[in-house]
Amino acid sequence: MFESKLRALAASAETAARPPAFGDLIRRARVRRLRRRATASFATLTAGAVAAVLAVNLSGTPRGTSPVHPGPTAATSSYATSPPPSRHYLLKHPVALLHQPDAEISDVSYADPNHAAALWYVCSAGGANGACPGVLTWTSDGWRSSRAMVIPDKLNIYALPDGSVVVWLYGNNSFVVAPDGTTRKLTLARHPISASPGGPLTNLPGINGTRPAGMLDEKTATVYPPLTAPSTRCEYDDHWDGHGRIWEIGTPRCGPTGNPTVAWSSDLGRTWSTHRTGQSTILGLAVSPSRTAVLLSRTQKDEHDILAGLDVTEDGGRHWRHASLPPDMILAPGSIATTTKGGMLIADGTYLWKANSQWTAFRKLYPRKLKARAVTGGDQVLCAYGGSPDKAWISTDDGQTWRSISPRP
Amino acid sequence: MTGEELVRDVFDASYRRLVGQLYTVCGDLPSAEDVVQEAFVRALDHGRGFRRIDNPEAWLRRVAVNVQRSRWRRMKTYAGLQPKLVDDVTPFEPSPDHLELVRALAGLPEVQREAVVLHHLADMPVHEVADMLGVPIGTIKTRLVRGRTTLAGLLSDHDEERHV
Repeated sequence: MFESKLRALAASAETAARPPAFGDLIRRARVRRLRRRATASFATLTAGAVAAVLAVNLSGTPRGTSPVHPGPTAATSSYATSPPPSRHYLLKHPVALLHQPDAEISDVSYADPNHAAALWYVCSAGGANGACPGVLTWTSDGWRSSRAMVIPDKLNIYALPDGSVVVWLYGNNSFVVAPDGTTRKLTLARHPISASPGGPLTNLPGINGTRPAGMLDEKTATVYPPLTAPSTRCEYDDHWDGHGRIWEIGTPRCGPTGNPTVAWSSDLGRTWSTHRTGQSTILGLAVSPSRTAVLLSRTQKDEHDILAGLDVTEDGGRHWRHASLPPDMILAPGSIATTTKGGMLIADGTYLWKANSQWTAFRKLYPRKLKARAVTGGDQVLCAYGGSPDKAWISTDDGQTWRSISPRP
Repeated sequence: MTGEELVRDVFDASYRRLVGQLYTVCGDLPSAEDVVQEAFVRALDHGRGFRRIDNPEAWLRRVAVNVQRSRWRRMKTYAGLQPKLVDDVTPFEPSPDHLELVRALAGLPEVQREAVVLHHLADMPVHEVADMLGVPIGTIKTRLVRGRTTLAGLLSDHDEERHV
């Protein structure tokens, strides 16, 4: 009773709230940054002046001790003892980097239970141009053994069923790492694929809201840009549903809001059909051979509006039905995944939710508190990660049971 | 996606919800909007670091609550001066039903109000509320029990007043 009153009160305040122009907030943040820089410059100048005066005053005094260098941390000492490891040394030794206390898992990709790759992000090491280097590890035997290499920044990775890993650098420097660690450059096609490929194409989707890589033709190591529906002015993931249809999300303006639609094509993008959701935000698509779902959220609200929901079609887009989601889900882009068995999973930042076989109801999965920020679904494998810096969770039985993995070499 | 784009996405999706939650903590809409906007400005100021946050909405809620707590501390210091500086701003009038709850919430000590709102409205488990507010779990449980009891008492008082 009291809880429902509390929620109703918050809802009425939500309705009355008037969001400011986002540009105003950006301006406030910029002004604050400029002020801070000015203060820091002033402090540096003052400190420099004081140090100069002290140096002049103490120039005749003998030094008491030699300069002290920070020693290696316990975690890195087995790889580098004395003298302390330089940054250059660490960058050459991915395993040492992985044992930095702030190495944080940022991406996991499973092709199947044995073939997988994981990426750590190590900000304390500092790579080229101030970027944080990433440590890529990959396995062909379910993490019983693995190899590692350093890559220059936080990137998207994709494990392939043959044991190789695509490292996507948003451009011409992207490459494929073979199971033995040798690398091969990827060719980037300038136009989306226009004829049916000889072999299967692998979707390289955007991860956590990043721009998608496109479609990989493994035979020719060529990546084709994503198809773009006429209603879409930004690039989104292409989702292939196993019946020759490609699905994607489109919005009239670049961004997650603005009356978005779902578009699908059965002829490699020559013609498109669309479904207008009527909601203000689309957070993701779940595409399986039997049905397709659109994960929705909204920013407009009235008493009859919903917090979040799914639009589901089971006949290739001819008819759509709406399914509600649990009201306490906090959704983010990239938080929905499907399996080849037709299962569907949503990660809401705190819990993992599994849809029933019809995608009409959801339940929290064991273990309940994964703190998942993203899920990837593949052939037999569901993977969740985030929250804990060095762990990912996998399920090989469609989400029934889970085990934690720490895929360090 | 840059940090700024991510903040914009979260802003579009979560601004109103956060204002709704903070309204029940602050007790008035302008303050709630102010602290939520401050949280978003800090998120923008955070730059690339914001992309590495697991749950951006929870992070923003935590910042907004902390901003409000600092304001309470400052308000206590300048309590006598404040009425001379600002006029009351009440652009948002809750309905009579809601007004009772607003009064009842305002009657709760701040620490109990925070705990009740974070647990019952933001659906945060007790240990997360404890972690966020930096106090032991037992303390949060006590605050919740006391908060609910006080709230029940205050709400029934209002009901009785209405009947009379």
